[in-house]
Amino acid sequence: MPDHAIQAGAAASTPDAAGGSAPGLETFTYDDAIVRKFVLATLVWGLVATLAGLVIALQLVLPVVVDNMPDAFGWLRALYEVEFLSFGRLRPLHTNAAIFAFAGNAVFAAVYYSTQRLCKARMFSDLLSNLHFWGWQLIIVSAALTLPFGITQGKEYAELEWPIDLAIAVVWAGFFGINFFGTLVKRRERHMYVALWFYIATIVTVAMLHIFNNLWIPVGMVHWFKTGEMPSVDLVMKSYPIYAGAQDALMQWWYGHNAVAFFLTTPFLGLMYYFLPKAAQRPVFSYRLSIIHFWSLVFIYIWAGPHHLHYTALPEWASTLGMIFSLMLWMPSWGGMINGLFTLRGAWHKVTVDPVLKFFVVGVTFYGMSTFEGPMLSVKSVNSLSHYTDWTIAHVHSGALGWNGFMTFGMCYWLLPRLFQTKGLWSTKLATTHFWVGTVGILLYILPIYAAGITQGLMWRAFDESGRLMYPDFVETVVELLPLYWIRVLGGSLFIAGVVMIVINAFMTWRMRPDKYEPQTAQAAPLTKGYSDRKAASRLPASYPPAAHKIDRFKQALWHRKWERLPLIFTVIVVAGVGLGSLAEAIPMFLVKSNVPSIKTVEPYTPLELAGRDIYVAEGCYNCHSQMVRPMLAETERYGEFSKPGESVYDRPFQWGSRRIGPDLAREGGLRSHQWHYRHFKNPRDINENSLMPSYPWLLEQEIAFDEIQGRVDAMAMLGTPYGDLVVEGNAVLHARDQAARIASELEVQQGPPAAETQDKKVIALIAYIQRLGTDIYRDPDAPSPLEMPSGITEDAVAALGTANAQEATDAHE
Amino acid sequence: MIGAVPTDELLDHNYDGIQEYDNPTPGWWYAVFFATVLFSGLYILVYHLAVPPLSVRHATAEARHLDQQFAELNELETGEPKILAIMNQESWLSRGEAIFTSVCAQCHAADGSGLIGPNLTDDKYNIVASLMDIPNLIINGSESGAMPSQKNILNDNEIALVSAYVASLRGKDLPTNPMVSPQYEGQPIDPWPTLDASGQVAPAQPTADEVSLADG
Repeated sequence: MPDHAIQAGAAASTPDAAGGSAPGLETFTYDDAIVRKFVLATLVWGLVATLAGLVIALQLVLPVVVDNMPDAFGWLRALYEVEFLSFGRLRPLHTNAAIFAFAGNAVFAAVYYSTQRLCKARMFSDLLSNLHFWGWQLIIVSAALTLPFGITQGKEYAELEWPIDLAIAVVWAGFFGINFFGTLVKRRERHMYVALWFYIATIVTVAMLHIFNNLWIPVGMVHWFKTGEMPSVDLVMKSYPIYAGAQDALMQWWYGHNAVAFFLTTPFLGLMYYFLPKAAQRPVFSYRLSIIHFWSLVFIYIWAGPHHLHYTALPEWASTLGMIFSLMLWMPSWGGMINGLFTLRGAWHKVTVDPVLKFFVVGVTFYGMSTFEGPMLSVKSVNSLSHYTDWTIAHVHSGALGWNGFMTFGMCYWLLPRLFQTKGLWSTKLATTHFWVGTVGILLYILPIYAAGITQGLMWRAFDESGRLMYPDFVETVVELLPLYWIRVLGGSLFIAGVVMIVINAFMTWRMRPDKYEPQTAQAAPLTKGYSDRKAASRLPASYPPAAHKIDRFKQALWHRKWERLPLIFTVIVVAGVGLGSLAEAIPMFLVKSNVPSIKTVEPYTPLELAGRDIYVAEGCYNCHSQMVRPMLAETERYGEFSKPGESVYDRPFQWGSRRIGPDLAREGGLRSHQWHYRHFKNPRDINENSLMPSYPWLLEQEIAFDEIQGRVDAMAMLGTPYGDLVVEGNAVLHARDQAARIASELEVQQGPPAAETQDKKVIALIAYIQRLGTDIYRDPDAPSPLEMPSGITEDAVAALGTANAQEATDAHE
Repeated sequence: MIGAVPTDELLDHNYDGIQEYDNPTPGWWYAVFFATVLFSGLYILVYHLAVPPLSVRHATAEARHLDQQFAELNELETGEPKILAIMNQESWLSRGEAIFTSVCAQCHAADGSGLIGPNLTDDKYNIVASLMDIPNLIINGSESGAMPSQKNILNDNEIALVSAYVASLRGKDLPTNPMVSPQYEGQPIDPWPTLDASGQVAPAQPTADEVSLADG
């Protein structure tokens, strides 16, 4: 690595042009040990996240081939028949690991390395640095220990349950936030460089998003307050959000989209602004561009969330805001790409030899492509085709693998010799090989998946000349994608091979480290009080009108230069920017009743259906099934009446979904017999040989925890669900047992197993929920409410239902 | 040019060795940015003032679609004549088949040989005794719920189309899928009625037993 000269020169920075006198230099050291830890965590979790991705990619292709393979491959069935490996549970593990573990640790490595150097100060507190590091790794481990067990909030990228949410808030805001802002306070560099602006926006906005999307009531705690009994582990770990239906959807995608913005974009732009000019040893192309693209990005991004909900039961005005702010976001995003790529002017010849710059060039290019594609996909008419298809999957992987992945790899290759204090990487050649293998891997991942998305979208909406759907059987459209899914497996494997290469290179470089690391010493003068800002002078001839002079002074951006030395003011303006867009969308959505017109016949789920819904959430069904029929011919032809906002007012969390690997379920209720569902959960391939759905044999065996149901109903009631007498202790359980017995006997009549075998099994609760889906709008308003206590139900009758549990429940009731 | 170092004006900024040029933001950046802002303003005006709401647009499209699909069918007399007329026209039957594929095949198999529900291709029926029992069953479902009502997702014309297709499956005599419960075996029933040359429904040919009963 030939740029040691510039590194050494860095410590002796030129004094600020307008700065005061330097009262002697202070000597201090940078904490690189913490950066080494974060880099190590980045690489380890990178491997875990991508391997999890490979597993779920295989889960989509294996179910239809394993039965035709030799017996020796039979063990592969575990990937779609074993509870803890089920797609719906592992897919959140993959996304959470990629975003929060891999990209998260990379961001922290970048922030801890660059902030110290940009502030000419050691981090505020070594203790907070280490609490941050270990706290975050603990959060990741707890994610890995909860998601496979179905402990989830059921909202994308916000799956982690409430105790982990609290830990995230403490580690992020308490440890990371205080440590970072404390470092800004004790900095010795008067002005904050653009990378720090992006870090500020990241830290405050992610804290805001995380806290406001994760407001919930813990179900176990409600139960504990009411009864004084210790709730079960399942109930302790369960929460219901304070938002429901369309409002929950708005909050979730406000969060979800801005997680992309402020977790995967702004900190990586900060990373780019530090490491790219460092690696290229070239000045940044344009300071003024960095100002305008930073502020426009911060003010505009926050509005864009509703573009994930086009044509859904979200009001049209919100959808329009999501679309236009996404369009306006195109140039603010590209400002970052321009500044990144143009900074390489005069250094392009280095790109041919330096793998670090290769990774950065391709990373920034993928950023440019994704941030053009994003606004395009947010256009309603484009979105009508792309939504729910693999197109979105391809889009996010061009961002995650290309932008986040390659920027991370570039940074790591640049950091490794510096952190381990070696002359260079163990093997530059291996790093270059990683670059090429990774690039081909990304292309082999995204190109077939783009093709899959467009194929799927077109097949779903194809009509023939007589006006009927050309592909009425959903599975037909899935079978078409399988060859493309196999190419994805290949592309993903190549990308993982690249990750293995960087892990080897890091390990071998680490082995070349000195016996003892040199402390990274630097010198700088502390900031003095009484700094006066340079005043802008117009550069125009005096004959010009005063307004022209004013504009010229404004264009020199010295007003912004002042903000750059005032972190508090700077942060307040950022908060105002992201707060404005958030409130402008949330306030009308929550206060104006006409946004969610109520429907008289829509009633809360029965206690059993609620328990079934919680199973639906726990199994992660929303990862493959939407519950949202859009008002488009192709959808209403295929699925029935389009979904209304009033239909999901009791849905906590909302389960509209974002992807249709399987068909929409919004109108599934009553369409098929209980027996069909029972057989289908047991093994979907018994019903349809081309089905990709996992088998759910455990739902046929595990018992419904009837004693938890009252707690679930009570927590919902506390949030305003009108449950009436069902909150009387014991009533919810009686109601649930009665309904379960009824469904089990119907199942028996439909040639299913004997009712006595099934009436206390989880599958019955799930069938109860599914048979209710989308049926309320057809209900006779004069018919008795599904929540009414069944007439003639006595404790004797419940006891007669025959299971020991029933007896216990009755005893508890007494 | 590769390797050509620009000579732009540098600012006096220096952060850990990183410097910044005083270059202006490219003009095309502003041009495109303001174009997107302008477009957004126009979009709101046009979309929310001049275009009807989504639900209205959908209702219009659906009405047109229904008309395109069913204008001809609407002219037919409902009930048996309609179903029989559909059975006599291949293009209509194929539309019934499409509905069968999307709605019925899940339980009765794509070829009608049965799965969760009974075989529809043989002569034996369990609940159905006459042609009109088919649409009635589709509308109301069976008592046990084994055959659920489909009235919420199918309109009258679609029910007629798919009923005709189901009726037309009879006589294919495919072997019953082994998954089908023996309980669904059922009894042989009378053949379907037919349409005579004038388009009137001709009753099913009664079996010999019934003739003798009627005579007696």
